[in-house]
Amino acid sequence: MKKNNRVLKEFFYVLTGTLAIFSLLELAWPGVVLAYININWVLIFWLIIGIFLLLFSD
Amino acid sequence: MLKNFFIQKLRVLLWLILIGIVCFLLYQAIAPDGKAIYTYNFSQPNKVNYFIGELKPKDRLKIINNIQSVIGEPVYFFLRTLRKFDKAKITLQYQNPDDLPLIEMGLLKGKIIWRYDLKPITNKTLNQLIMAWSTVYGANGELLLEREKKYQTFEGFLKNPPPINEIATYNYNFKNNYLLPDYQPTDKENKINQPLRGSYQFYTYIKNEKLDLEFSFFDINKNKDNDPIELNLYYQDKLIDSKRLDDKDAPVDDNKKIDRGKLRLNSNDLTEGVYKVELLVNDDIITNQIISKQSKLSFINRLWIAEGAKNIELKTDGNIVSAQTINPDSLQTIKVGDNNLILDKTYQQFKIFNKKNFNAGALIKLDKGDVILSGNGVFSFDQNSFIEPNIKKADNSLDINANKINYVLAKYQAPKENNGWQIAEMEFDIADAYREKNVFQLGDTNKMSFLISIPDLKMDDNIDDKIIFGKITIGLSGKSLLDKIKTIFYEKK
Repeated sequence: MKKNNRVLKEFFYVLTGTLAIFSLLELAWPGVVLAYININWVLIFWLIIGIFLLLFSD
Repeated sequence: MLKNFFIQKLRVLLWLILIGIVCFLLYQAIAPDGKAIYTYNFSQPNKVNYFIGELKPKDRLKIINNIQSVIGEPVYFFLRTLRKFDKAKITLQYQNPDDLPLIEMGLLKGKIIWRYDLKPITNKTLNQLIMAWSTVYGANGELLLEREKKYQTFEGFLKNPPPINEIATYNYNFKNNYLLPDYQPTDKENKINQPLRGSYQFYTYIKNEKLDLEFSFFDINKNKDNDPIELNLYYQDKLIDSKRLDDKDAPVDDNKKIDRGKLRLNSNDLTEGVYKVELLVNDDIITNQIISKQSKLSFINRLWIAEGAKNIELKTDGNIVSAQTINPDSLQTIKVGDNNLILDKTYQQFKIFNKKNFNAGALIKLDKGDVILSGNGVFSFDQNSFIEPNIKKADNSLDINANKINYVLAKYQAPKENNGWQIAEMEFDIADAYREKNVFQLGDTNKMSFLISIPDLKMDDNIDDKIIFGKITIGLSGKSLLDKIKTIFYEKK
């Protein structure tokens, strides 16, 4: 369980970074991300992992 | 220890994937080689594409057997790019089961008069002539069609052209030096006192005289926007003079009529020939009067005779005349030659197609104004001021035999056929395309608007006809990253 949490934490950190980088890219160059990736899905995965970590963290 | 190593490896891998994705996105957006290709399928509109928009408006589309068909024209779509490109090569698949004679695609170049740069998708008249007449190709893909073989090369035709009345053109700018040998300038002042609404263009003729045109304007403040007035003078498609009146008042929509003053075009020492005058305004601006020293003055293709005008008489040489009004008080029967054009509904365009009177010209009589007149010829308020320097357009509105056309010049490629689809190719210069401006975004967007025009596909004609548009491929080309860096470097130097 602990190992799973650490793996999930890594995904959570990367997804947080992804959201931040994608948002900054979109602000600087509109369309650069949204043309290829639906950020909504990134946000949903980030939220699910975040909730999971909150519920099952030690 | 082993667990930590696994986590570290996973961490590096995940961040590398993110860096890879960001690099991919930036590479796609920058397009370092200056090229990009986007595709979309118009017949399957449920798939969303960021770059190419679906066809609109929806009420001109119909789903038949799970395939989207176009049942009314025009339809529009957008092209959105992440950086600027100069050229767009478009390949479009379509099916034309009802054999509609003319389909064209246009790129929006200016929004004030909704100016579209139209390119052919198919032209039935030319498709038939290519099979029946002798064809000669020019160095840049131009096409010369001859009823009887006379010219061996396209360049030979341009050097020694036949009389203008034997030539028709399509999507080709034939530079003919139109001169009136019997023209004599006069000192007489000519006035157009019928009020005209919105933008228009007209031809005038100069020979050993000065150009003197005075326009007086009103603003009717029906729309809450800024109403600048721009007047341009062109000679052989080159802008030679421009005047502007800025709107200094705050934008209001109180329907109060305001005098906006006058603009004057005044030039000496002009070469003999035809000049084009263009007024660029929105529909709040009324031209109350035009005073001119020129004796020739003919409006090109479209004219909105404003409210208040009465007993209007115009001459046109076009064989298609359309009328439309947005004012219920302006519903009337318009006389076009011997025919009646019954304008009995607002917001609907009514059309007369008159093959017989093409060369003779037709007299148009209206009882009252607030009517938008349009057609494929010119309109003149006075018989003597009529001038038509344009060469006839080779499309389905022209009877090639009745008009004794012996030569057709065109920039046209007949569509190819593949697996039941017609495939048309066209190329647009998109460097100067009109782009939307967003309030909350710095700089221009790269969103361009395209139109597909099918003049014979009307929704309200009770004919069950349609067109199916399939896959569209847009190949874009522009400056490469290296060229861009070089330009910046040399410009700074």
